[in-house]
Amino acid sequence: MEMVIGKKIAHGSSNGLLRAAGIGGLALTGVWLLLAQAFAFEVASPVAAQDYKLKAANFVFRTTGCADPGKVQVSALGEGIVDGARRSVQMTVHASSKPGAWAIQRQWDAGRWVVVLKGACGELQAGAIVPVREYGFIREAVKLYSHAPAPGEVDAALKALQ
Amino acid sequence: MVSLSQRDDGAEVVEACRQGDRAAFRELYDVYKDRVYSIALYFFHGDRTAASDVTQQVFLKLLANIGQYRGDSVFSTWLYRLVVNVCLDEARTRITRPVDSARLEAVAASDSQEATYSRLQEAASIRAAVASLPPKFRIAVLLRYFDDLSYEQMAKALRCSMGTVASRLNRGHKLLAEKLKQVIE
Amino acid sequence: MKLRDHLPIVEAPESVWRGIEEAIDRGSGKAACSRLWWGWAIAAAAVVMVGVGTWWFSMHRGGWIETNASTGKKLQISDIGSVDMGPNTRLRIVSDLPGQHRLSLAHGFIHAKITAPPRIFSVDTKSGTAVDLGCEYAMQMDEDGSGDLRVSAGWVEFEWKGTETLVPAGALCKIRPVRGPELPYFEDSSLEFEHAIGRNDVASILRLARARDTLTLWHLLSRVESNKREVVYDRIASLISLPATVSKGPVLALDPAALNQLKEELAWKW
Repeated sequence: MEMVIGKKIAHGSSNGLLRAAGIGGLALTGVWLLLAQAFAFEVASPVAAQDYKLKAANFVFRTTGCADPGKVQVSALGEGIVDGARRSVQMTVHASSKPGAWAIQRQWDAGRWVVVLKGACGELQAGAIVPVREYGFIREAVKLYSHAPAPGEVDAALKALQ
Repeated sequence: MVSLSQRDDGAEVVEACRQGDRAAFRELYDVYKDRVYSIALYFFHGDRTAASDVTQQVFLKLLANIGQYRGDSVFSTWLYRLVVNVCLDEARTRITRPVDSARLEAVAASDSQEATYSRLQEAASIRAAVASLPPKFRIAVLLRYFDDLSYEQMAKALRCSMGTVASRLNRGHKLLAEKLKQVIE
Repeated sequence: MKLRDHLPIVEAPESVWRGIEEAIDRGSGKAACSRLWWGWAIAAAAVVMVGVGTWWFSMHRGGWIETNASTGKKLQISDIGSVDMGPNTRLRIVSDLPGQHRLSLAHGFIHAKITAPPRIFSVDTKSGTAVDLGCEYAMQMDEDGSGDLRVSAGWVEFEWKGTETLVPAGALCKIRPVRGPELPYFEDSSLEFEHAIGRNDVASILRLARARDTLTLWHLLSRVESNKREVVYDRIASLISLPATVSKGPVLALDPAALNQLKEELAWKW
């Protein structure tokens, strides 16, 4: 974008205009960089996926900010405390009929649980910790990260549920 | 305390109750009396007379309506529905009294004798804050945190959707937080 | 902080049991005992009723089903779910054909739990029809046609005179006779926001809305006069960053595809 602007004005303009065009181009580039979304998860109620087969899901999620959405890889792990003991359960991630949206349905026992989401878009990473209930999720306690959630972050999230 | 639903003979006790067996009714009463009494006590601001009245009403209603319990829900959920109805009905008919913190502190002192003074104060503040919640939020908070009912059980006891349960708990928390401020961590 | 730590269980005094025994012996108890016997008889009958529920459901198509002040009833809806009727409830089975199960709720309370594909199950009321899109919800209706619809799982579409109101999990919609459904809103919204909806105070609705309340604002777009739509859209856009695929012009013109695209984006905050 910067190069195109500079070239068009050069044809019949003064140096002052060229400098202004260059500065404008740099500014536009900066704005573009600011506007470019970071790769991140977004977590929502099942209505967001508008897929009736997933209406009983605890939550649905999608990623944003990946230049090639078809290459996004996601995984989910359930981390919980059941009768005082720590448990981990690999979660099945259900793809919704809407491309780029997935759902997590309950796959855990009673106790206190969070679902740890990890996403990859090439070298970019994203993470989320979603505290869940028997039905639904605890919206206000969802934590989003620009990295895969660290064990300490998961521990803190579980502790906050107590 | 093992709840009736956790006991192998729970269904038998309920059935015997239906048959008019007073000993079975006393057994049922003994399992739940303290919880029902305590919920009513905190609901009615530490008023032991009100708590006794409500507890009696709950169990008399249970006796009169036990034939309608069809075993399609956990017994305690059915019982808590009675507790909710009686508490809210009583709250509507009773004259609103200001929260009597002396009565609530008496509740605290009788069972926390080894606690430090600051902990007693904290406990009294929390009880007063709970007691000052609007009745619908108060009963929801008490059912959830006093007796650890699930959202589904609470929805059945309160005869509302789980969304409403979440909403009442959410608003109850907000109101508690405003009242308690530094007390709540 | 655990409330339970500060709300210890207090032992009920023995006087409570004595009071119960006295009440039983005095005669309110004698009545309770006879009610106990009748209660057993009713319970036995109820078991029989539930056991033949599906047959009875079909045989009584078109007839009214009522509950009295102290009883509820559970209706099994084929193999797609169930409807719990609360006390003082009256409803009618309009259709129970495969692929179309329809009830008509005259008044009272129902709690429906349905596992069918969308639009297989619906409930008519005096003030519109709740079309199940696969979910769990409760509906309370008064005899004059006023009531409310609260959704606890999935989502419901409430249809009235050609308009559709989407009510997702966690939201409720009040229904008014003649006027039909009010703007839906989430139950965790502020009381001021809820009251603003009741007053139809658009300025306050816009001012008090959070990102999640775009559910309400999205419905508001098609309910305000055309010259007010832009301010509603602008408020939505200020609460949620809208992608380039959402176009303001077609939304303001209430183009169905544009509205749907906007809804699909906003739903991620609902």
